[in-house]
Amino acid sequence: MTFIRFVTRRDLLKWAGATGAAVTLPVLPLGCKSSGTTSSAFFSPAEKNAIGALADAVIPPDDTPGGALLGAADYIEQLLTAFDVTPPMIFAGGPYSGRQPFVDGNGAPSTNFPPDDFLTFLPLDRVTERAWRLRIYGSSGVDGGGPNDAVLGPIQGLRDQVKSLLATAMGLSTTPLETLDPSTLKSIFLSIDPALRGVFIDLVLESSFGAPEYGGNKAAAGWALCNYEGDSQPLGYSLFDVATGTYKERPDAPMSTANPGPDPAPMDAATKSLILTVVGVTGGKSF
Amino acid sequence: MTILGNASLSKFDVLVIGSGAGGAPVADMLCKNGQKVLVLEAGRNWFDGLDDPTRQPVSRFSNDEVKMGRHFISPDPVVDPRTWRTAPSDGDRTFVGDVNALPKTVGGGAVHADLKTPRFIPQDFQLGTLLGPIQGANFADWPVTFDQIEPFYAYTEKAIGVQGTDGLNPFDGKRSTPFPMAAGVPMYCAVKVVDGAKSLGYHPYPFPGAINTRPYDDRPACVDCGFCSGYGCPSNAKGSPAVTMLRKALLSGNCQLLSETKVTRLLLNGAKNAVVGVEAIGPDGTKATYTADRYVLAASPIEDARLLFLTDPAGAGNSSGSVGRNLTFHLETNAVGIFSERVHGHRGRTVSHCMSDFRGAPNDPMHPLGGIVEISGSETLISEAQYYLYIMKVLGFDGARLKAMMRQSPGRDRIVALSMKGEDAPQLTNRVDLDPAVRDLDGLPVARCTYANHALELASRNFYLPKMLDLLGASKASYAIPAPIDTIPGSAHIMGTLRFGPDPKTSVCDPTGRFHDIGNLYASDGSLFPTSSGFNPTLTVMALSTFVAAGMVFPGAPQKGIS
Repeated sequence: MTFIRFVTRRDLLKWAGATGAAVTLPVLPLGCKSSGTTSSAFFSPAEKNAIGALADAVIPPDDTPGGALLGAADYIEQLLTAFDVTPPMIFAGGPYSGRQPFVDGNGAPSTNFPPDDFLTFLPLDRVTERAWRLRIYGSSGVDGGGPNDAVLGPIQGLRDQVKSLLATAMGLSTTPLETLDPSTLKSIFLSIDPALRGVFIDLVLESSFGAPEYGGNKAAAGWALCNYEGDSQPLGYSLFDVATGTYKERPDAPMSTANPGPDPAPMDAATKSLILTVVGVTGGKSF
Repeated sequence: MTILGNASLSKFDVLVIGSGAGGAPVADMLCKNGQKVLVLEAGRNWFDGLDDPTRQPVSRFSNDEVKMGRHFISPDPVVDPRTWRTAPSDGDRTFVGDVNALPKTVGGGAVHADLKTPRFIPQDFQLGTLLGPIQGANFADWPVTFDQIEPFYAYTEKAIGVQGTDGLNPFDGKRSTPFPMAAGVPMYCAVKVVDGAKSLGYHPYPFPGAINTRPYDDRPACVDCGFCSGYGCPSNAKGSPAVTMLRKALLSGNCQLLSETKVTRLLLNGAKNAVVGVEAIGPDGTKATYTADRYVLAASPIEDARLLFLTDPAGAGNSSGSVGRNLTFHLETNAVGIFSERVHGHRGRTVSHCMSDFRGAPNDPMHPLGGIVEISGSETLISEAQYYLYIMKVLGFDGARLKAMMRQSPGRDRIVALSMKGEDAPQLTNRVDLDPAVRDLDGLPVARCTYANHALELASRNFYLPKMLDLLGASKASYAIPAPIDTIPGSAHIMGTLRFGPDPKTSVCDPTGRFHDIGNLYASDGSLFPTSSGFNPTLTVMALSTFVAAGMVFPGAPQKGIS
């Protein structure tokens, strides 16, 4: 693809080496100010390493990055410390990230890129602030608790859930998780309470495939490994030619026709087998 | 609180609750005819400069899956849930959370939609007569005909800018005007199905939608970014009610809009036949009262009904006993085709084509009442991964396989989805009331939906689903998988609850949209719909809202409002 270079695991490792031990966001996002009351370091270095190891159990590294290098620890920490800055880092801004250019007047990509509005996080209102404080800190961490604690039980906050998962996982190994072989790590990961594991998997997926401004998806490598162009505005896929009043399409990423070039990752036998299983269970058809 | 529009206004002719597809057309019509209008919107405004005549609004929406997944504009179920059950025999509820929620934001639910705007067809307004009595169902004719609404369709299509191609849909009703602009670039995944559909004798056509295919009304042409359904538009190429009709109302000098202002009850007079004010909670949590001469409910069918029950436990304006009843959602029947090649359904406006061959006809066993079939692309990566996880819940989690699937992308980059929006039989037992115990952030009872499908729509699904699978085969998909929607619908098509009709014993509102029991209260959104039809409802919501508002200005002659 023209606008997102394929990022390998080696690229990210080199970047990590150049910037320090961890791959982190280089700056506090524009418009966010530290509250000055707490540090943004929610996890200890050992815990961050453990998160990385567990994230690699969700998305294992190979020739492309796994969950750790994609930034799971940074993503999760940014979310769990969202209220340490103002405005809280919950909703990235918009409309554009600056990763794609505007269209010129002739239906072609211009050299004019918008700024990264995603870095300017948006203020929360009364309702969303309450919801996210409850989600992150839980009923016990918010004055008054949740509106339905008496009916549904108290809300367990993400901070407590992630800490609990880490304590469980780290307690199952006498050595740091990141030193374990993949098989042992997977075994530990699968022994964790399924509800906690589900929460963690969701966070790793958001980290790996969400916008990089949330702390994960380093260098958009998560999108690249999926052969996905990422956020496409303001360029998009149909480029309006003002002069002729017609649309043009991107040769590298056509909209109405087949992709150019070979399929970068054709479906393998295991994937086809899995699809056939689903077809069988659901009463579908194969042709 | 954000005050938009004319902040100096303090006395209002009409107070409108809700700023979306139901409220924005009302505000626009009333304001252009000199009425002073106050709009109260529970959600926030994410269009900077929406009331600035010197520039176009700047949207804060973006191609950001994380943001939308974090309930950027949709009600957060942690503090604003709904509850669900299929029948009273289930107990108080079986689910608490997101029950077909529409966004709460300036511009309303239509902001998140990809704004597909098909019209209903003539038979849809007469199903009570055409179907006759059906056990357990409560079909009724609309108190207006297609011919009466058609000019309002044309007016609305022009106002919001609808793309489409004339003459390709043989099932459509008569059009008095052409589409305001040509259809956009087809999506490759849809092209495949269009070819397959034609080979089977069906009649696919470009989906009408309020998405610019050229600069229109000072808004740019769409770039088909791929983040359309479920996302607000970053460029305002999508003609949502916010950037079209609501903006015009705000620029008229006759409108004031208060965002983050949640109406909590109507204040009635002693006889309960007139609204004398509304009580609302503002952005800082304090209560305030607002008044006008007339009031319009446009907060969406579920929230409208909830508000009437918050006003009076028996339901304000409920002498018919129908408030909250006849709730319909459309029964979605989905089938997914997986191709061996990548058909990149994330490039486009989510849906570029459709067909009406499965809409069917009343009492025709060979063509049962179904609905429009959307030929849809795919969306984004986190959602894709969640599909694979869902499968792995059964087969066991395997990270390496998950990663391989994300690379190979059978669930995103190779799929096309067919989705039939089936006629949903109205039933008195399908209803909205208040949950007895579950509360929102402010301690108010939340809406509870009691809902079960009728045999009519289930039979329709069973009839058409095999044809949808065959259509995918004819389109050269390698696999076709039925994917019926879960028990709790997520259609975002919500209709009924305040049915309009001539008989006060069987309807809540009269044929003009005014409450039978409350003389200065109107409804103007999908709540009025006596039946759901089999087409996406947004255009009809907006046309009907314009009709109601025009009738408020020109009693007995609403057509004067659009002439």
